[in-house]
Amino acid sequence: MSLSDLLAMLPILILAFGATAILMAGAWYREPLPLLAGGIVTALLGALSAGLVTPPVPEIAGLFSAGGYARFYTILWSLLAAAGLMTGSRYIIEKRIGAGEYVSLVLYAAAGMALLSSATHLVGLFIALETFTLAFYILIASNRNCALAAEAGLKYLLLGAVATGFMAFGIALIYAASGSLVLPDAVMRLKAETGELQAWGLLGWGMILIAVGFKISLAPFHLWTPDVYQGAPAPVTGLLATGSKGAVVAALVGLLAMSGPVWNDLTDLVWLLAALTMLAGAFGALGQSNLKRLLAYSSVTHMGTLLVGVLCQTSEGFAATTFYVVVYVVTSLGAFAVIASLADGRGEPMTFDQWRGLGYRHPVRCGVLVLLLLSLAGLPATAGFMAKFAVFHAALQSGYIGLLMIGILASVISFAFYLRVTMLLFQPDEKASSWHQGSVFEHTVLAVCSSAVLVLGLFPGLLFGLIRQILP
Amino acid sequence: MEILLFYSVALVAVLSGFLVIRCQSPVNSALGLVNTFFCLAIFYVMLHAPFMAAIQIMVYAGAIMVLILFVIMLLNLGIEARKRYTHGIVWSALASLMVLFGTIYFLKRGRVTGAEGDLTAFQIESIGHTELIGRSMFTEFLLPFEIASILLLVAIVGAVVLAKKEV
Repeated sequence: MSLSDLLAMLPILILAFGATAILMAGAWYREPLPLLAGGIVTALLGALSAGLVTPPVPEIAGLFSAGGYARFYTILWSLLAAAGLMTGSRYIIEKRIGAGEYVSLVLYAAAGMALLSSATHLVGLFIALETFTLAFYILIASNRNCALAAEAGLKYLLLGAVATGFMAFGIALIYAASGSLVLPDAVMRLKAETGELQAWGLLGWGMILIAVGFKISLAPFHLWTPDVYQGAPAPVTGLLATGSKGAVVAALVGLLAMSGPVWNDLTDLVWLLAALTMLAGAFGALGQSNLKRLLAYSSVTHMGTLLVGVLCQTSEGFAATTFYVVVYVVTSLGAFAVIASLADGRGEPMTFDQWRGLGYRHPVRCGVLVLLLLSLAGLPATAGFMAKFAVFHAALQSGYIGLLMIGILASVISFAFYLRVTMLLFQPDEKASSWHQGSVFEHTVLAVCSSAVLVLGLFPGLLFGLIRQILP
Repeated sequence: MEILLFYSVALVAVLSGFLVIRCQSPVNSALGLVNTFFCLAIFYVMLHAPFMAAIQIMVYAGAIMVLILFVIMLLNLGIEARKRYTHGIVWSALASLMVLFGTIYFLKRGRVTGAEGDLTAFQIESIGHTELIGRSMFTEFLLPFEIASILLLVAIVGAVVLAKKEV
């Protein structure tokens, strides 16, 4: 490791050292607000340094890329950590959770996600994935007075461990068949003889796909999602639904974009996974009567759509997927931030009975929630529409007509359940009770998310231009 | 001869891994885990990695297992934890068999790479296995080593957060 390597990973160092410093400070000084403010400043500094400091080397220690793509995601995950700390501020103060621990875990998770999105080496991929997943296990179960949270944490831990096992097995098989852990190099060697992936490489990719399926909840590996999302506190669910999935997809896109068309032999399998995931999410959400579970199924549908973009394996497909990740992160985070901002002594509003008529009690935040839900559904003029349009356009150009039809079908079904929540919010109901007014932090996050959804929906070219430049 | 040893050790490893999740008493499960760790240590020896084998036995089979046993005994689990859970065993057995046959089918069709690394058995004999591990850990794989330290720090913080008394 030379000085230029260290300079290239400055954002990660800021996040990791900042997290350690706050952890230390938290041991002596137990006021939550200064620690939270320190964490938010650290995350913003990380984003700033990733944006402003041009790395002197293209790759860090042969493990992580330092290119534009990696910096883009480092900025995104640092900002996400800042937003996660803002939405979590009231939660940790009211539930008396150690602020130092919470802040440092979120920052470590952000560092892990940033590393994962920039991985070029299978060892880097594996260890970065483990780092942030471990932080999430703890964040999910952080409220020890809630049995549901403990159950969610345990479920995520067990399934995460299974996924890790598959991931390690897949990496071992790819290494045994190719003799290389650097992914573009390994793929080249696997394809050297016949122009197709060798059987072991195929099996290795299949195992990695299973692990990825668990992490980003593709059907049939999605069964943990609703339970975990329901049990975890809303600020953590917001991070879990966006960051932990987005970082895995980002790593997948980065690796595939670097190593050329890898998946030609796996196309049918991925096709099936994407179709199943979109339909399972859409039909699963129809029967829900709990907003957090509904959002969980909605995230399953979105992961299926993302997989369509990845499956195209064209530069247009990768650009559309990256755009979709950003839009999904902003929208989904906002939706969970609304839930977090309403939470009070009774907990979070979850069941539809609790949401009925809430639009008259809290018009602004419910209006924001409606906007975000419509963006998740893909209403024109919102960012969600542009994202879906881009992915489906890429699928059409690559000739996946059947998948396109299934995707549109799933979108139409998803309109039904998003609109159901929208109508529920504005049904006149005398019994609707008032919830918490929300803090300044939470209102800031909501303002940023909703304006981002509108801006990206009306001017998608801004982000698309940037993404085209940075894709590896 | 070596292949026979490999298969018998592998069989014991898999069987004791199965015992870990199937035993009624947590202490028996822990002992099954120790057995698995010993089998893995034998594999390390067969791969000319004596240092890894020693570490495996000292750290995993020794230190970590003692901790696990302490936790089990301190918790003093009641009747509830000793019930035999049988749900889903048929389906999971079917699924694992399918994965096993699928894996074997693919493994038969492919083969390992002929590529050889920089290290030879002769080098390991002359320089020493421990020194080679140290060299690559602190040069080539320094960064993952540091990230692993963050990972362990997160795990420690988590253990404290989840286990400490209300402040």
